[in-house]
Amino acid sequence: MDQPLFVPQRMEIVSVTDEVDSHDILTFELRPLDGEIAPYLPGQFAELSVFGVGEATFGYASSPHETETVRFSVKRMGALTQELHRLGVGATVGLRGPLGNPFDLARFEGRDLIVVGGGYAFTTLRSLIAYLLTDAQRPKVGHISLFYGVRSPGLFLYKEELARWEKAENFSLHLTVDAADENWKGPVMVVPALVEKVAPDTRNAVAVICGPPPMIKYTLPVLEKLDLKPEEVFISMEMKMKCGVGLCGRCNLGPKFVCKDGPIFTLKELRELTDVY
Amino acid sequence: MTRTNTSDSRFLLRDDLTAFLSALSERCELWIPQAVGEGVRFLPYREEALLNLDQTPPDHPAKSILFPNTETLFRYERTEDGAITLIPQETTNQPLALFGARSCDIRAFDALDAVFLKRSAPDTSYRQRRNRLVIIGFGCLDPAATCFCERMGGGPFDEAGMDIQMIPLPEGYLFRTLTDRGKALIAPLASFFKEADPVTASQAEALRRKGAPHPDGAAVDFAALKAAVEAGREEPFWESLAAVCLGCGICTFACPVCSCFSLVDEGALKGGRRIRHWDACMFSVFTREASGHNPRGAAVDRVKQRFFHKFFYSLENGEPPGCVGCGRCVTQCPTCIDIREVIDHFQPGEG
Amino acid sequence: MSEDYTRALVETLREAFEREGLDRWIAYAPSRVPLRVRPTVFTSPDELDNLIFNGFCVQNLAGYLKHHPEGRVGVLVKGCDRRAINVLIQEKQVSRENLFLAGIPCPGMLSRTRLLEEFPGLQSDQVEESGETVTVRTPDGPRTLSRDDMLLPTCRSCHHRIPEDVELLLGPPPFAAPEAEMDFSAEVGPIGEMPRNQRAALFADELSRCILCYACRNICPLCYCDTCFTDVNQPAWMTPALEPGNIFFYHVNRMMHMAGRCVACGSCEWVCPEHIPLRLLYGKITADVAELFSYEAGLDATLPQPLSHFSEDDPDEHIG
Repeated sequence: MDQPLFVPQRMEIVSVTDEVDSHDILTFELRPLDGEIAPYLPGQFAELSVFGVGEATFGYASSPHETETVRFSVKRMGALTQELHRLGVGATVGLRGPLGNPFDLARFEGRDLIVVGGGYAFTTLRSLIAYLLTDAQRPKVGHISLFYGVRSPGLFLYKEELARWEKAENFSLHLTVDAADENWKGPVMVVPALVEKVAPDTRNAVAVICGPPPMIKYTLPVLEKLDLKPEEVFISMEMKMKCGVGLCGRCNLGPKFVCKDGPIFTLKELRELTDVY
Repeated sequence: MTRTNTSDSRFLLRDDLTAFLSALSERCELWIPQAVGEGVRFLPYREEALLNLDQTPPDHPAKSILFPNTETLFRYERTEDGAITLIPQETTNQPLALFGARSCDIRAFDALDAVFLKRSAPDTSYRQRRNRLVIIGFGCLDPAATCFCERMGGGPFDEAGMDIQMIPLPEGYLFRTLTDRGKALIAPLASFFKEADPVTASQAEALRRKGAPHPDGAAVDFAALKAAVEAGREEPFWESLAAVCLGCGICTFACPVCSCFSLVDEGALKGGRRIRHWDACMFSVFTREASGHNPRGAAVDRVKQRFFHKFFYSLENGEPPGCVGCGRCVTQCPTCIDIREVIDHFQPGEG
Repeated sequence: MSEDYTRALVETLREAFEREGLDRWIAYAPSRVPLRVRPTVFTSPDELDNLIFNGFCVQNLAGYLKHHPEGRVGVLVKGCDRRAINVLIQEKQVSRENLFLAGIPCPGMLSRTRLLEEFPGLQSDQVEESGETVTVRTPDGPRTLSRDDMLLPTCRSCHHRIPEDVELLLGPPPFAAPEAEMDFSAEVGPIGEMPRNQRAALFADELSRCILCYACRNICPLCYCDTCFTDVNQPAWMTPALEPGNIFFYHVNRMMHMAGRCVACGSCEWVCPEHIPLRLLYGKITADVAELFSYEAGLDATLPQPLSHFSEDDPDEHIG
């Protein structure tokens, strides 16, 4: 008898980090109580369990090179995330994952990378960038341009890391906010406008997008104007999920399941899917 | 599954059926169609159960033997120091016998297998039941006016997927053993059977070859249907269905193929469980997100999802069509959303 | 005879559709499903050719108004449809001025279950309604039954067949059951009088067949919440696990939500794929409201509902 499909791995919370000024996004660092961390790659996600409440879907925020623990940043939204936020270090949660497909890193090799993220969904892009900045991966890709926008400066996730990335070689960091505070010196505009303004060199580039649907919607035309081909734009999709393995029937976009066939799709693939679902 | 070379036929007298089922129930977990209230559903055998082989089709599909309405996936216990222990579902190797299901329900298992065994990681709880399953199918003498299994590629006497096919005759039942697994199931009960005499055998053979008494329209060309549904995805036809759809779960719960589900925890401080339960793409909350956003927020999105899944997405993904023609959704839909009309709309010139 | 009636009905409604400049007309059309018609939203006067009215028009059309329809809508109403609309008006779910109501004196609807019990495999075209009888063509010749005997249970105790306060009162169909003799309170009376454990056993037994398909909720013309308590997860009042506790919780809560509002149209009962007699199980509440407040739901849209309104002379015996 093999591992039952829906029985999660027990994980212990080893640290909790309050990420943003609104205190509604916490990063949970988890260590397995049973077995090992199942190998994963940036872009994949997992179902986290709070026993007695249920499961919800989160992208890995940690990078595969961080082998002792996994991390997930969780925004307080509904019943499960509220309960999760109440749990502290030492509590037991469940993990089913990795699920879904990762970013196709082979297709990023030798290319420049334009990474566009917004809001809370940035967590999966953190996994990608942290992984690509490791000594083993860094030589495989060219210049990385990161565009990241939030509503106000206090809402940036992973602020210390962003400060390190700003100094990284062959890396341009473009942060923007919808509304500035007294200390903010950077641009005040929505992400698509910033991408358009900066107009990164796309001649040898692929783009990666993850963020709220309006941000994605308005960024895509900008990327097209910058001559990125639909097959070179990678989008991380979100939909309500339960099983995470293509069975329960709710996350399909036409014949494809976001959980099983995604969550990473190219713009070309998304356009070929029907617009009804 | 090994099929025996020639089917081996034995005869069971009508009067011996009760004793046969009782004896069979000692050797396996046996499910039979039972009258419950005014309906018929497949449930585990009990001595006092009212066997009903007459309702065509039984108003509940047989899918619940493989995909129960509610199942506990695991339990958890929490000790005072907060430690959690997980207790997985119990498993058994005891054979699971389905008795008296018609060909439509059994063909639907192909579609369930495509989802739960082949689509991605096999569903372990489904698989453990599927691996135990032995099927004594029932030749269907009296398809209802709303049955259209032949159009969907089946037939009342279609034996596909059965281990034994049972053919009802005036004096009793002819058991045609089709697989080694079927043979093994009833071998210890040989004393209940007598050899089928040539007259009985030829009666059964005649029935089997006769097919459906009233085929309703021509066989569906699934490739053409898929193309037509795909091309017609914006047709106002869908709005006319959505305008009257109540958004209840009758059609999906009655469907032998529908298999959408949800996972929910029931818990208290000391422990609880995670269950899987039937869900329905027709419920508006099925896809509603915690934010309130709902990608299938309108009734028409949900109606399309149901039929696109059946006649377009399944086929696109190389899975069987999502309909076996049992007609349960037709008779049970309170507002007459009729899947036959969907087929006919996109496959004109048939029927 | 009934064909002439339908033709005249279609012309009357078509004329009103055009004259009133309505956006839609909600009524019934035939279907291929045995002994059932399809509620239909007609969007142009031409489409009305397909309209029918017969003893299978059981769906309460008020249900199609519950999601705030746009524009001016015509509705063909029986007594119970009309009463449900009054409740929707009381609860500000629909504006009276946006509705054009054509009232049909209800002949009493037929029970599909009873007919199929009597005539398995029966098809709609084998049934002929006329006067106080229903004639069924069988292979052994026609059989004539009393319409009264074949009525939907709820119609047997309905005393409000003629819809009131309508823009257009249509002539009576050429088929109708005699006026109901039974009284709803009398019908549910025995359930109320049962010893507590016997009543609990009745509820447990009937509800044991429930599959939580929510057809009773979704067909109810008065269940219009965007999010039902069944689907709330903060707090999770119940789970969807098909178990007696959840099933009982669902029905008892819905029952309480219907107090003083239920118009006893019986939709929850005939729609139930498990044939649970919900109208009777829920009916004690309706009977209690009638007794305590001398109030019958849906008769007058201008009256306040007893359970959403305080009055000094409200009965208060239960406070002791």
